[in-house]
Amino acid sequence: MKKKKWYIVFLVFMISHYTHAAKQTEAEEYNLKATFLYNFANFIEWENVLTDESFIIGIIGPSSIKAPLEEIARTKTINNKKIIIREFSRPEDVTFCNILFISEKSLYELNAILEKVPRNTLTVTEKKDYALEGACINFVIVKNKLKFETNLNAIQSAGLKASAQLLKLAIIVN
Amino acid sequence: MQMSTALIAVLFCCVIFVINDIKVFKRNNVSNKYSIAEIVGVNAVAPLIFNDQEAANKMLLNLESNPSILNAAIYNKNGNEFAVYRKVGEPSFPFMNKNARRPMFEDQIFIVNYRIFNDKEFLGTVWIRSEVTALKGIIVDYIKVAIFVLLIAIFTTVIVSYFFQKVITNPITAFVKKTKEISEKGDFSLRIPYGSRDEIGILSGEFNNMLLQIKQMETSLKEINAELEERVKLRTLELETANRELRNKSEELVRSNFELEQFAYIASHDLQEPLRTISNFVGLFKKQIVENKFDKSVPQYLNYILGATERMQALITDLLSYSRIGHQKNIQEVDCNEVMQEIIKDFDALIKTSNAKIYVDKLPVIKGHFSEMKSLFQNLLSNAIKFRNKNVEPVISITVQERNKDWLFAVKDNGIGISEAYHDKLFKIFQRLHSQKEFPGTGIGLAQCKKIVELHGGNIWVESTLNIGSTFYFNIPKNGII
Repeated sequence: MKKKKWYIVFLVFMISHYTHAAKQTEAEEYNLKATFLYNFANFIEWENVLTDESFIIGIIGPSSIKAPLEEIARTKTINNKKIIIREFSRPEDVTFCNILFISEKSLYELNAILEKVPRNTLTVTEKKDYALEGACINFVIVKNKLKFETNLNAIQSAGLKASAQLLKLAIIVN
Repeated sequence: MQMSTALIAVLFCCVIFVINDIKVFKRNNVSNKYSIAEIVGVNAVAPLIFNDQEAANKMLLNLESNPSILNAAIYNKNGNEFAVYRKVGEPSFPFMNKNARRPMFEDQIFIVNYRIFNDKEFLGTVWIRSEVTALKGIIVDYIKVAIFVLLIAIFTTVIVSYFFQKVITNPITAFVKKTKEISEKGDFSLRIPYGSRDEIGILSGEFNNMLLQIKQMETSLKEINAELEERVKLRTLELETANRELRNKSEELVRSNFELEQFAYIASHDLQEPLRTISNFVGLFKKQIVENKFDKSVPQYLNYILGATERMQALITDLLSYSRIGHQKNIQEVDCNEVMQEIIKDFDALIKTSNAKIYVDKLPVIKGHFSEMKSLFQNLLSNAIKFRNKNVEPVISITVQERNKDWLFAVKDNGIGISEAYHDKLFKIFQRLHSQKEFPGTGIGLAQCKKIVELHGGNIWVESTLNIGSTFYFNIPKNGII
């Protein structure tokens, strides 16, 4: 009986430890992703850049990126424009954003979301092969480093222009 | 010599240029590397932002194409090495502690850096360490060029100086040589040869003009000098003549002074005789009056006194007329025939008394003084008549001979003659060879004749034999009184 208890305690400990560690890594990951999103803005050209009053970053689906993004939005600007964070649950709810981050925890299919996304939106995803499937940028982890794939067609169809500097660092998918 | 100066200048310039070029080269090198650092930096913005070290390293690897770059690195904003590059064979270089402000030079290796900014946000630093390549090669090339330039310069200088010599230096040297020649010889008739129509030619032409003027001045100077000498000669001559005249005049003055003294002495001496006679007889007369013894000789005394006074009068008159000779200024044309006619008329009584026979030639017209000539002939004639032999009728002839420059007169008589011993004394004033008893007279006559003849520029002399007769000669120059 005692042996089993120890096992259970050990297991629980390990799991909680790993979970904690995992949680820590996850926080770091989304910090980085938030920073990347913020930095993408410098290398992408939107059409109405002159007339827009604020820079809107949208998140669809629950995501841990929300907290770091809000932190960034509080302290920084993009092109002297205030950063506004919006959350959406359903694709129909999506209004115009400069960048729309599609959380992996989103319940909806990519195509369903992409249909409803207005033009001139930089769609950023974090699921395998999502760039291929039509997202403009897709985060990937390569050799324990955060990298991103880009779909040039998607970017072009969205009416966006991507700086060569960015593309140089990206994994080009088609 | 000028060539070497020019070449030294060129060499100096070359050296300066080379040094300057090396400096510029180094500077360019630095700025070139700085530009590279800048480009790297700009391209490193994205990798730094997205933390893509792989991309950054790949970028630095491109620097391989620039062999002078030895080391390069990108450091992030925390000063940690983000990406690094080193040339094959080059050890890694720690850029960390270097002052990121100015490029640093050490020997032939220098380091530049560029601070990377994105919108005022400091992202990191690019460091590049490179060597100044091929500097030695560059220097050698420069030296090659410099030598080449120098050679061209030498060549050009030689050609140009040869040309200039021909066109400029030679004409000038010839010019100088010629002027030296002219000034050394003092010959202003030489001219400078010239042919060109440039400034040297003009100068030569003007110089020749100047020489011509100098020559003319020289000539006129000589002429003036000659003229001056002539004038001086003339003046000297005039001066000499004046001097001579002065001397003559002073001699005359001395002579005449002497004559005057003699004159005064003899006059007073001769005047004393009659005065003595007068005083003697007056004394005797007075004695007789006082003693009241009048004697038969009283009338005789008075005769003696009268005689004495007459003699004194005659003496004084003759003296006066002697002294007056030559005071008349105007020269006349004197017809001697007229003179003789007057004299013969005057002596009419005397001639008749003495039964003298007078033969007169045709006499000329001479230049002189009428009354003096009359006195002359008068004296000679009266002497001729007076000094006659006893019991011999005087025969007197007056002849004249025309000579080249004068007239030679001769008054010949058959009188008592004069012994040779007295020929000199004859014409001296108051010299009497006979006593008053024998032949009365004042003794002035012949002296007067001499003075008159000499006044007319001639001479008087005598040829005589005792008891036979005398001939008095005198000449009167044709051109008149001097």
